[in-house]
This record gives sequence, C-alpha cells and structure tokens, in this order.
Amino acid sequence: MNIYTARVTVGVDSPIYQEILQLVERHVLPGRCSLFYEGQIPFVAFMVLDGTVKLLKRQKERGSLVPGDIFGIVEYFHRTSSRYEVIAAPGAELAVIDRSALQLILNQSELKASNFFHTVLSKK
Amino acid sequence: MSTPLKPEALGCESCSSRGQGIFCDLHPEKLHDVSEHKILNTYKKGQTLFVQGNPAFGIFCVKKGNIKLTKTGADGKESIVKIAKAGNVLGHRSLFSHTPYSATATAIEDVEVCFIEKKFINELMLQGPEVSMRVIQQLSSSLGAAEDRLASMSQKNVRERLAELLLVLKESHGVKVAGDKISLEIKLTREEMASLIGTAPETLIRLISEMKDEGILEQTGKTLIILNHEALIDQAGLGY
Repeated sequence: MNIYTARVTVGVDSPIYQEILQLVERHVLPGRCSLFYEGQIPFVAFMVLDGTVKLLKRQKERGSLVPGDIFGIVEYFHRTSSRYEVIAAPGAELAVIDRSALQLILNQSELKASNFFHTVLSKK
Repeated sequence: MSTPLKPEALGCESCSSRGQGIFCDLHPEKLHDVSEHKILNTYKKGQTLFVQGNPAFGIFCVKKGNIKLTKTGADGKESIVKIAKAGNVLGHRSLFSHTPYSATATAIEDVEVCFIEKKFINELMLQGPEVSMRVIQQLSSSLGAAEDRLASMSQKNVRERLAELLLVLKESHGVKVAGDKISLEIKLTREEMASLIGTAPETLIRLISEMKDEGILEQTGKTLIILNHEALIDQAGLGY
C-alpha cells in the first residue's frame, strides 16, 4: 500500500461527503496527537474536515491529508495494520467513522456513500 | 459487503488480565461479543494512547504493561497522576461524563492495550449490571486513591511521601526475590517517581540514597529492591 491507497478521497463538494457528515460525529482536536501509529490497527476511521493531518512512515513525513480525505477505513474494516502513522495537528477537525456509523452507512443502500464504502472495502 | 469487521484472534476469554478487568463477571457469550468488538494494539515505550483535551472515542483496557497518566498545567508543567497496570481501564471517566480526556496516557514500556468503542460499551452497560458494577468499583478505587494522594500531598513531607509511594509500588508491582526482599518491577525514571510525589528529581535521588544507607532499600541496575518493609511503614507515617 502506498500513500495513494492509504487514504481514499471523497472531496468536499461530493454528495458522499455530505451524506457521511449527516451520520457521524465530528470533533475538533485541540492537541497534537497520533491518531494511530505505524503497525497499529486503527480503532476508528476518520475523514478530514479541516486542519492539518499528516502521514508518517518511520517518523518521516510522507504526505498530508486534505479535507474530504478518509483514512484508516480499509485497515479498520479488515482489522489490518496501518503502514503509516497518522498525526493530527492542533485544531484539526475530523469526522469519526466508527463501527456503528460505518454499518449505518453500509446498510443504507440508497446512499451514494453506501455504494462508495462497499466498493472501497471490497478491495483489500 | 465483504467480510465484516473480523475479531482479534485472541479472545477476551484467554486474556491474561481478565480476572482484574471490568469484563471478568460477564457471561461467556457476552465476553465473546466483547472480543469481536475490541481492537488489540501494541504501543511502544513513549507512544501516547490519548492526549489531554482530545475527545474520547471509547475505552482502553490495559492487557499488559504500565501506562502513565499525566496532566499538563497552564504553565506547561507535566505531573503524573496515576500509573495504570494490566486490568485497568482508561478513558472511562471522559466517556461517561462526555468530557474531553483530562489527562494524557503514555506507555512507559511496551504495552498491549485493547480499545472498545463507546457505543458498544454503552450498550453493554445498559444490557446488564456486570460491567457497570465493575466500572463503579474501578471509579471508586481511583477516587479513593486520589483522595489518599491529596491528603498525602498536604499532610506529609517528601520523605514520608516517598516511603508511601514505595509501599504502593510494592503492592502493585512488587515481586518477592530472595528472603524478604521485594523487587519493584516497574520501569519508572527518577523524574517520573519524583513527579508522583511532587518533588524535584534531585531530592528524590538524595532520599533514595539515604534509604539505601539506612538499609531500607538496595538497587540493582535501575530496579529498586525493598529490604525493610517495616521501616518503610514507619517512615510513611502509617505505623500505629
């Protein structure tokens, strides 16, 4: 998995982005933190809404995520290890895609977000 | 949808800290459900599980190793408020009070920790009293320890607080070695120990040195060994 597959991009103008926002919790993180470390299974997946979120490998920065990027979703769903550490800078706003939110989206087949996640998650 | 969120290979049923945790009274069927929902991760020494001020997404159950909880004051100074060990739960106060984490949790050695999402834990607590009662027990125990620490900080001098800390560590991490010697099997730096009793590292080092001279302690590498338990009780002001 390279940086381009470590995240999936929805785009802030997409109806999928809006659908996801309707069904998940959103949080602003006041402190800098590692959301998960390289080699760990993410305990939830996130979609970037605002602020700075960076991908690191062996403690070196390998890229930044932008609003509309979803990360950790494939690893979270398949319970596999992340190949990147993900660090959120203070003030980053994230939508939290946990198990119940994901199942809620997947079960609503009329949603574009449902089809989107079914497609993303079928590719391991 | 392809294979749904698969459970960890190692279930809660065989967890080494199960008897000390909040799920130990659960019916096997429900325990299996917990296994399916948990995510087991390893954190290396120095890695943080969560950061003070950030929102709580669930609870962390310590399976193996020790974790320090630190609070950072307005002046940026960090003080240790608790050392969590196997069987302890972290993040539950923030989760149930719907407030951000009040402390930062950092691994002080390589640790294994299970994460359980907040919706699942809330549902589990609504289904029966087993988990709720255990959570109340842990909250009560933490509150008691916090009250003891508050009293100790205001009523005891540094030497008494150090003796008390050594007795607490003896109970939580003490391993009997030769004769009556008790080795404190916890990897705390002198700075971390000093923070726990609210003093400077230099003072702590001096007091440890004095206790070694008095035959109360000895040291092997970085590990402290208690030689005279009664003297510690006396110095902590706990004797009658």
